[in-house]
Amino acid sequence: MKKAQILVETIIGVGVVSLVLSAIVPLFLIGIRGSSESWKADTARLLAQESMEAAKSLKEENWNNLYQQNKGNANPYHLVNNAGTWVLAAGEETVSINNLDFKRKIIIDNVSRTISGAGTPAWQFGEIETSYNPTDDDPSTLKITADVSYENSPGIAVMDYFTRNKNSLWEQTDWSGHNYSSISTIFVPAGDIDTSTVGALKLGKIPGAVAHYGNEFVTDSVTTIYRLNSPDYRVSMRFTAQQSGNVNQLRIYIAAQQRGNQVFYKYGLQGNSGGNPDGSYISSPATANFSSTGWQTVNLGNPVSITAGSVYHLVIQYDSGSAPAANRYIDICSTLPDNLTIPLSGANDTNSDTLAYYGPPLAWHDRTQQPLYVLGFDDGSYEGNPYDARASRAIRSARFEGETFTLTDARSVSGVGLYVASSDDPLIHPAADNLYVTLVDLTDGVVLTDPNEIFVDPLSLTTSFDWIEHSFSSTKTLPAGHQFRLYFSSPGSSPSRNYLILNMSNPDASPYNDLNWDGINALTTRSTDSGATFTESQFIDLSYYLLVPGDQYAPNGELTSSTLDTGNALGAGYNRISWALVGALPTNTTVKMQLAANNDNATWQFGGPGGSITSWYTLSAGENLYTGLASNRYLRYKIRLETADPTVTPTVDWVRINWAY
Amino acid sequence: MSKKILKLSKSRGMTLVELLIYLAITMIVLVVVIDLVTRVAQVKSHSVGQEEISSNARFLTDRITYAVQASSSIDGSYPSNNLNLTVNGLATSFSLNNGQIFYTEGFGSPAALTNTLVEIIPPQGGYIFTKITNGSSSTIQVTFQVRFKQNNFTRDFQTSVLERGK
Repeated sequence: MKKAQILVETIIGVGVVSLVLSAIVPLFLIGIRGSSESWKADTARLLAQESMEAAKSLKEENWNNLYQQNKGNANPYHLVNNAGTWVLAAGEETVSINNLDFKRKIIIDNVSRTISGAGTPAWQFGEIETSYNPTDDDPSTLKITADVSYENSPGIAVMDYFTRNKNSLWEQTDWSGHNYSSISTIFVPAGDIDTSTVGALKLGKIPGAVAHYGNEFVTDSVTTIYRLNSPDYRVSMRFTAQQSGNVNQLRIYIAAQQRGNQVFYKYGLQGNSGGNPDGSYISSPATANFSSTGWQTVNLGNPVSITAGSVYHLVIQYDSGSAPAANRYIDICSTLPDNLTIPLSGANDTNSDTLAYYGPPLAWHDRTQQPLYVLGFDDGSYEGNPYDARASRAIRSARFEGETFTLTDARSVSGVGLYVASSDDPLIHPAADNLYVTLVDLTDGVVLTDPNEIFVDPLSLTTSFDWIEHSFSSTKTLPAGHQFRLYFSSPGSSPSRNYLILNMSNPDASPYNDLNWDGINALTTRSTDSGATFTESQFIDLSYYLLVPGDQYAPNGELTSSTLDTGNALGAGYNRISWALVGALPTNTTVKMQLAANNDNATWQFGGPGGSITSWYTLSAGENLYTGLASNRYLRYKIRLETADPTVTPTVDWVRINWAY
Repeated sequence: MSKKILKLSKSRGMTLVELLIYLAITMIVLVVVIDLVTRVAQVKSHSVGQEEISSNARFLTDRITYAVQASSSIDGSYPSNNLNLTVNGLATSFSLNNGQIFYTEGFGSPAALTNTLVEIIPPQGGYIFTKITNGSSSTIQVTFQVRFKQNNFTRDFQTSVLERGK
């Protein structure tokens, strides 16, 4: 009985020993495996290093060795030592070391970098983006991943960014001596672009042409856009924003109203869609009811951000309260004609117009009127058209009238233009005296015109306002910073037979006074004592201008550069274009660029961002170039200068193109 | 007495069977234990050799990588078991001698980069250092075997380094 117990004990003992062994043995096995894994990882690391170094060698030899390959995980490559030279071969390779197969490959990926633009802080320009964005592609950076895996292990992946070396800058600042391929000669026979001065590429001057300087804005009559006497009706004032900023105030002029306090209208800005308002207010409109006529101010609770050069509509429509009706309405004021001009600067605004929405069927209609509005910005600045009135003024006997102005830029003037009419039919009752013009340099106290210089004689006029131009006997030089007085007189004319000149006015207050012609630099001037004393008025401006001879620049011009030969037969990379201006870019002028690249030095297809032949690079501070230009040996740029104001030209100091071999 | 005899004979039969079972169990236990001891010894030897090989190979490849990357020129002709570089204006070489790689800088005396527990062996039918050229850039491919002399355990290694200092 006792012996049998020993047998059982023995069996139990053996069982326990087996359990212990079964627990210990795997530990040794793990130890063995761990030791074995470590050399595999070392080997994988060395193999990945070899891939990376070989890829780098290919990059050093020629960027296109890597750049022109297919990208992404779907296109693995491996490197082969082909008779002493690394070459790239498609697919994954198997390297057998110590009887273990290592699978090795490299992946080439495109890289994009952040570019300058709205919302991107300056310190982030040029940062590599975490996920690739084709529009910001950087053709001179690639992401290379060397991957080595073995058995069931994911192995290791080594990643590095390769950048194209031999970065170069092609800078041009001297286009004189025909250092270009071609320039346009549409407007100026000698070239629409003037290349004669080093570091000053500008528009050519049209020979014998005459430009203007002065207030060309005119108001023949004051009118209204469309009576808002139906809940369905809307009116719009369309304009091109002159500055970027946040609009927090709208000023409109109510010409007429009936029971206006009972009707609430919406006032706000909308975007432009095919010339019409796009139908949705930017931010949200303000609501107001007005029971008086004249200028009214609407404060926007939510400021509207607008961008210079973009087209907007100031749209007014019924909101709430009693429905507009025949006896319950407002009329928004406008003027005629539509000058397509910004009063302050005389700049063109071809989008300037009023529109009305009425029917049947309900639709937007162009009214072809001058919009009358003021935008207030949150920085205290304003823009718009303040001229809400016009007047004709009689020039006769002791009553002289004209404009006093201060010039910010020196100008040579050869004559003067003015709207003028005869108060009575000159064929029956002509004025008894001519209309004389006098130009005085008030700073120097010198009269520049001839004594009794005749502007026009009575028989050259009609009873309606005509634009009359008169040439001075010699060109006058008007220095910058001087104040001048230009006035008209006709001492021998009578109260009934005289000359009428035209002026526009606005409320004598800020901001209106700052928005009329040349702001506070230009004032009407009047004398009732034959010129002994003059009174200046800020809120009135004459319709006049001075003739500026020979200063009319070609409206646009194009220069195609000489050829950049990168010397890289396999094609270079092109990264960025930038340029600098001499001084600031004048209002109403544009500088833009296109680029073309090829391998035959003959086929030049110019394009802008995205490669489109209609797009242009417009940011002088620099823009990344279209990636399709890469891998071409030859490069040219085309620079286009434009001006909507013939008296000014943009002037380019230099053009730089950053490229890589 | 008869009770005792009966008890004895009964006890003896049990002992024989038990003895056989004991023997069988002992044999099994012995086999398992001997196998385990053998394996442990193998693992220890394997581990020591592996560690020795790895540390030598790692140190060697690190030094070669550093030197090639910093070199301004790769001198001599390749493939070869000697690598001659110019680093910071000094002639620098890695040379195979008696199963060890020696490093020489300028006029200094050669310093062994690998110890005597292992032997560095060029790849079969080849050389340790191969020069691969792409345009003006040169890469040194390094291929070698390390043998742990104590148990003849070997491992192969392969990598490449690009010359950067131009």
